[in-house]
Amino acid sequence: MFTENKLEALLQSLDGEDLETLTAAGVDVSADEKTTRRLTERVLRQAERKGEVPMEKIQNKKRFTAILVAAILLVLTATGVGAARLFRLPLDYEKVEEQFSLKLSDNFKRVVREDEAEDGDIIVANKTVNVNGYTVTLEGIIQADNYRNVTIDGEHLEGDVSGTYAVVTVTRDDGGPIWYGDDEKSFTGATIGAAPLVNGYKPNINTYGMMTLERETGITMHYAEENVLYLFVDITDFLCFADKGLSLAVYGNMIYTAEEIGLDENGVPVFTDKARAPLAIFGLPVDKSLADPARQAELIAERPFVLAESLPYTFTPTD
Amino acid sequence: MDRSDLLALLRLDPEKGIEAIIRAYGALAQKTVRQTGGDALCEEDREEIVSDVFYRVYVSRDRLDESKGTLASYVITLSRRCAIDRLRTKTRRGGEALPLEDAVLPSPEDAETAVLKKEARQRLVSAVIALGEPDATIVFRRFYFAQSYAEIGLKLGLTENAVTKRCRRALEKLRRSLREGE
Repeated sequence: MFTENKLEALLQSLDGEDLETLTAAGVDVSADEKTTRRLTERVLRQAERKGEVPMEKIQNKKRFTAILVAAILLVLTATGVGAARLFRLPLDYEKVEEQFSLKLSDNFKRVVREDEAEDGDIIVANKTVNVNGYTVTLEGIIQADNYRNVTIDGEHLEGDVSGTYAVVTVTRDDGGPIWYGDDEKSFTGATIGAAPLVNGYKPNINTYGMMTLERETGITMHYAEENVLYLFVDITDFLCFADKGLSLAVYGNMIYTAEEIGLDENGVPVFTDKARAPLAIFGLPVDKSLADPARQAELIAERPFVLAESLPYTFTPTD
Repeated sequence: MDRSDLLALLRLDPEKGIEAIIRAYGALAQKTVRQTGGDALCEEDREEIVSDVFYRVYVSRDRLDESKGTLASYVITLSRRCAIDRLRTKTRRGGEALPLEDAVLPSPEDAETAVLKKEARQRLVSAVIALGEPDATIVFRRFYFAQSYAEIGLKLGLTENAVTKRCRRALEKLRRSLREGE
């Protein structure tokens, strides 16, 4: 009789080579991120105490991370790749939760749940995923019209911001702070990013190419409040691809490499086993009638796919 | 990252390398230490031992010889050895006599499975892989790491209920698959 106990006993007999075979085949035996971070820090401190690693290096680690993030952003911005530019929501606004519920409804049109949707509505998803010690929720999609007082790195952005945003919240399951930086409201400490993806297209196209460069937005806005990280991801220029299906990748890095996201057999984006800190990929519930094939062709023809050549994937739509 | 690259990364950039190795083998080390030490080791002991295991990997990075076995085998062996050392130390310190044999020696059932022939193990590995993802990971985490359905769900982004159902179905599939292979 093949019982659960028997299976447990059989599995315990596997040796290191068997385990490597399983992991090579994609079985995930990895430790969670929280454990990894805790143990790594402990090992490095132990090494430092025993003279194996200079303390200065450890102390500089957080600072280095912040600088690295800033440098990546600077490079991306300087090269015209707007995808990873980060905006901060204005601090003079009331809590962002209230913006979700759109009590401050002057600038936002309320979105409705899928089951309440009528023609023309933009709908919310309210999907939650618990992964790697984080709870990630796709709160929904909002339409921002003439959104004023947006700041970028503390500098006021001239003009109004309008667009369609996917809204995601992220919390740590242990209730800890969602930022690693000193300044709770500063994006420099954030290690969580998000990117909209068009189903069927390789991720570098989605991330670096399809983002429109002339838009002031087209980016992710971050905001943290009471250990909740809010991400507002501009999907405005992705809406014309609504017929292909849109997804939103949320990951524990400021930016991912193209090899970390692949496509499943249906062309739906999935994290690959190379993903360093995958959190969730949500399907975005957008109205297919927003599709605009002419605009799709225009975007594909006009966008400078600046990083395509340096990344493993090329522009190869699957359909 | 390919597992074969882990040692190369460890040598090239020890800090990043050890983090990658801990991510890849941390759960394995935790499980081995827990299994070896049993209840004789408290949570803090286990954490220290696992940390010690990876510290040893870190400092011996230039001496590790990949031709003599996989990194997983090395982590398992080191974890067992470190756990046994800790149990011995605790015993020597004059505390209560620890049930060392019970904790360290394999049970009769373990001994029986320890002689499972390599082909049988390979058949089991193939059957688990054939479950496909995420079922293979669910079964492995449930029956190798002894993780709860909730823990597995958290790791894989699935609800506890979904994990429970998938696990039940996968187990049945595995049962059929192994029966056919006999």
